[in-house]
Amino acid sequence: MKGDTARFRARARAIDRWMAGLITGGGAAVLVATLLLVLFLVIETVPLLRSPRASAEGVVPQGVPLAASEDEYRERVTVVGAEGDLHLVGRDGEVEVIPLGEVKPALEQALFSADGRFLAVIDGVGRLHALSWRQRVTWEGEKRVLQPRLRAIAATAVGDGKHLLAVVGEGNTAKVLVGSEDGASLVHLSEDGVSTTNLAVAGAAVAGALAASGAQAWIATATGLQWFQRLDPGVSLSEPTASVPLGFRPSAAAVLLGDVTVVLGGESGEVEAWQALPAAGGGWRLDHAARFQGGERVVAVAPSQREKSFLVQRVTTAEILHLTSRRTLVALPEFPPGAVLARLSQRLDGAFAVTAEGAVHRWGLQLHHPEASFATLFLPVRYEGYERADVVWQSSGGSAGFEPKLSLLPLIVGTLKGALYALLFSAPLALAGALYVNQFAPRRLREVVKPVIELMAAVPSVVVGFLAALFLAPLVREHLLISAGVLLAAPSVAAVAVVWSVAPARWQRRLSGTRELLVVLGMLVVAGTSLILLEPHLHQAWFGGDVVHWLYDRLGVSYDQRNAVVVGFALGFAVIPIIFTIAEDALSNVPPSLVAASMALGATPWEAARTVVIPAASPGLFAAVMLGLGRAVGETMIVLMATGNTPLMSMSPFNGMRTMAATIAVELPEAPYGGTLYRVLILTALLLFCFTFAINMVAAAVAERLRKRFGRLAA
Amino acid sequence: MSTTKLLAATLLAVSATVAAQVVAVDPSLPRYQKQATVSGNLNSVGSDTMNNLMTLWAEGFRRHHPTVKVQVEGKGSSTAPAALIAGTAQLGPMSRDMKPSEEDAIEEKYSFGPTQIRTALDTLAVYVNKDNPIAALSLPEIDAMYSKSRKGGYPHDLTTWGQLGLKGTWVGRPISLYGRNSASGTYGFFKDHALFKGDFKDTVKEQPGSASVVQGVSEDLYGIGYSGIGYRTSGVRAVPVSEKLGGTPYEPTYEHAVGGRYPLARYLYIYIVRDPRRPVDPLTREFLRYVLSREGQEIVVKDGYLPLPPKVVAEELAKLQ
Repeated sequence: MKGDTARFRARARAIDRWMAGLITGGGAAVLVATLLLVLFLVIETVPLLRSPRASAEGVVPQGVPLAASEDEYRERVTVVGAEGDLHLVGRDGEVEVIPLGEVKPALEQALFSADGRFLAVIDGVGRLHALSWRQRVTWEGEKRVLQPRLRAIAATAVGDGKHLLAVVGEGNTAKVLVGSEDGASLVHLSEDGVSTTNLAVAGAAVAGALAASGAQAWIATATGLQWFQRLDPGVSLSEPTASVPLGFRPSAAAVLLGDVTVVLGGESGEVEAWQALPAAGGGWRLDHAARFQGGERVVAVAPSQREKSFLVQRVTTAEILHLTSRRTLVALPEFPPGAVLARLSQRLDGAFAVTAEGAVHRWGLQLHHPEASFATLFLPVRYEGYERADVVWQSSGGSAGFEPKLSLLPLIVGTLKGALYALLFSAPLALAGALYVNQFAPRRLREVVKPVIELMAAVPSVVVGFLAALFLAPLVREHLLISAGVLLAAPSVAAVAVVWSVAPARWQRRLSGTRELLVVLGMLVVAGTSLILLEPHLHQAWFGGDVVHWLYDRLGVSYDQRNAVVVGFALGFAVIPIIFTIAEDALSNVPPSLVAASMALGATPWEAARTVVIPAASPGLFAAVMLGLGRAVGETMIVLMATGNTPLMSMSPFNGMRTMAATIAVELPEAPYGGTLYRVLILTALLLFCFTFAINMVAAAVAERLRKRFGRLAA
Repeated sequence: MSTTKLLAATLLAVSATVAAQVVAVDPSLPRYQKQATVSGNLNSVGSDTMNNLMTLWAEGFRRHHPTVKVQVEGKGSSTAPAALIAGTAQLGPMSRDMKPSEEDAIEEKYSFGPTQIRTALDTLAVYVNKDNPIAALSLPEIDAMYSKSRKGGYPHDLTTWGQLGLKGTWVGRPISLYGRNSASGTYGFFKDHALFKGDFKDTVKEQPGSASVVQGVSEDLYGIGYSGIGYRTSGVRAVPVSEKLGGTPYEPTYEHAVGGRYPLARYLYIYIVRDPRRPVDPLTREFLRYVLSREGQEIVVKDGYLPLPPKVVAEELAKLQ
């Protein structure tokens, strides 16, 4: 007998130890998993902070250069020599020479288009030639071979004293912007013929730039910047669409990808960005969009063909700048002083420069994520085409010239807004419900209500979101007054209860338990029915037929069908079970002896609940609300389906929002792995994690303090 | 008054049905003939607009090649390049052109770029609620409704239906904007062509699918949205669109799309990654040959999109050689 007990005890101890080990191990595994998750998020986010890098890659000497471009694969730099040949300079120094053909020798000037596909030259006898320059990819076994193809498009005489400002082209047509001492002209060259558009420029054209389509031109004179729009062949423009005086002497100009912003470089080193905006009284105006750090005289500005960065070539240095983030990304190391040409590679993975002696210098570039900086993620940014700095989330566009707008503020505001409205709706209901069920409800009711509310948590959130979007949103729009009535139901019942509490005790005693509940339900039914019956009349009498229109006409409040009220209802539905269950558990944990003691001292049930039960359970109640908040912040499907995902900064209950969780769900699958959007979304996930983590920490800390304070009561 | 409106609505409905019936696949297009017996798995990841189309093609294709398993996933055109790079799909349906950066990424992985195959024509329709009386819209007006940049040159912002000339109860009613999520090619195409590459307003309600845009507009009397013509339902009406302010508006029909008069017509593509040094993988080639056959193009019509002219089909078939 004794042996049995000892053996039993030993076995129990063994099981205890084993279970303790298992539980500790499980807890540790959870901690490790969470830490690994955070680590993953951090690892994927950190590259956002990587600074751009440029490294020198070698020098290859060549003849006297006029213009240069590089193929997409960075295999060879094509240098146009003054003697009239193209030199294709390979990385190993191997050079292939292609003659320019019918162009008369001794070239005066040459210029490549930004995409490197068109070449304009002015030869020794004053003729302007446009040529198309392609390098087709062919394969010799496993080796890629670029087949160069030079084709003359057309030529025309332009006379002396002209200089090339810009070239663009498309198919069999090239457009060349030519400047002179007294103005500028745009020459359209195609196989069908040549036509010229004269541009009335006040003064000598110092620098110029063309939009990729050739339909817009910017021309800088010594004193000002002029913009010409809608340039059709043969039409001469007597005056620019818009012009503006400049505060400095310009020396170089280039249009950034997307054809919105023109970057000007100055004689004294200024670098400024300008853009055309619609003017207040119709027409257009030129607007100073940004100023970059100054330095030596700017020799040339070369735009990237992939995004909004550009190369600024100065006399002895060159640096790469980024428009959106207004940053200097990187300076090219060992830049040859006195280089005549500098360009970015087509894919923005390199840069090259050619010196007056014809030496080709190359750099490899790793710009990483130039469009993501603290300023672009969290502060207002002046985007292209915007009148003022703004916080905008618009992460992708349909074409390469799009400027990504990656401000996280609208997402953070949207997340907080959704959670706030959800809590406004759910917290009072859930807490009051828990208190009633725990303290006042008849036992049998309690046995039914609690499992039913907990069952609400079993409804998949995608179903809740779907119902909210397709069923609830139109319903709320149609019956806004009834919806407002629903929101007011709880406060009105509370008000009636307050009035009732001063009623004679004799009356109060007659209404208790189930009867009390039936009276309240009856009141709600009567109020609800009368509201439904009255609503059309109220609409007609007070709101001119429709509340939504009345809101817009009278108060200027615009009403969106997918709005914060709908989300509050739907998200609240998901949050109520959490708050209710935890709050009810907390209330149950208050020792009944405390309630019994206070009632024995003459307190009414309400007084006992108010002064004893609620304070004793307050840590649990607070934790319940905080956990509900955590759930609301992290909830994805409901907000994704019911909000319209509008990245607004407004807290109005009548329009929608875009939350961090929904944005991650919508955009992460499309984001190219390792790209800026991908990393920014992972950063959003990390922020979301920090949010919920902080909320839970605060909940735990406050609950702990409250527990200490009220712990004596419960002990 | 109401009789006239009713009549007009009926006429409109009739003309729409007639237009839908007129579209027929060119009889000169050859029927599908097996060049090889193929089997295995064919995965497609990409455009949501082309989801139904891909599924129907897959069904039809399996009638000829019963052992082939085709899986179609459609969350948006931007998911196609990622899937092609990861190798999780052989077919990347897209409702817009691939961006240079996406082509760069594919070329970085495979050392050659993607091949674009045009598979169908689509007219991007601008939908309003069926009870909306608006007669026509121009691109600059659409731009002024949807965009905060107004690059189309419309003089002021458009926020209410009254500003577009609607009378009676419509005056002062705010326009409720619906659109697609940014992963979709429809979003990018609309941004480039209807918004003149400007930015969407923040108040555009982004819907995760074409069907939910149409659904949203049919539930919202003051709503407007855009989606492929294949998603038209009885709850919405496709508004005729003109390219310029005051220009002639055209219905999104086959003739207007092929004739280049409807300004929001586009091709629907399937991108594949094919090594230029080797023949196309037989499974992929057979599927694309099916898509470009008369059967494949009849499916295009059945799903509400527009078939390719024979000239285009010949060009695309040449790419598969």
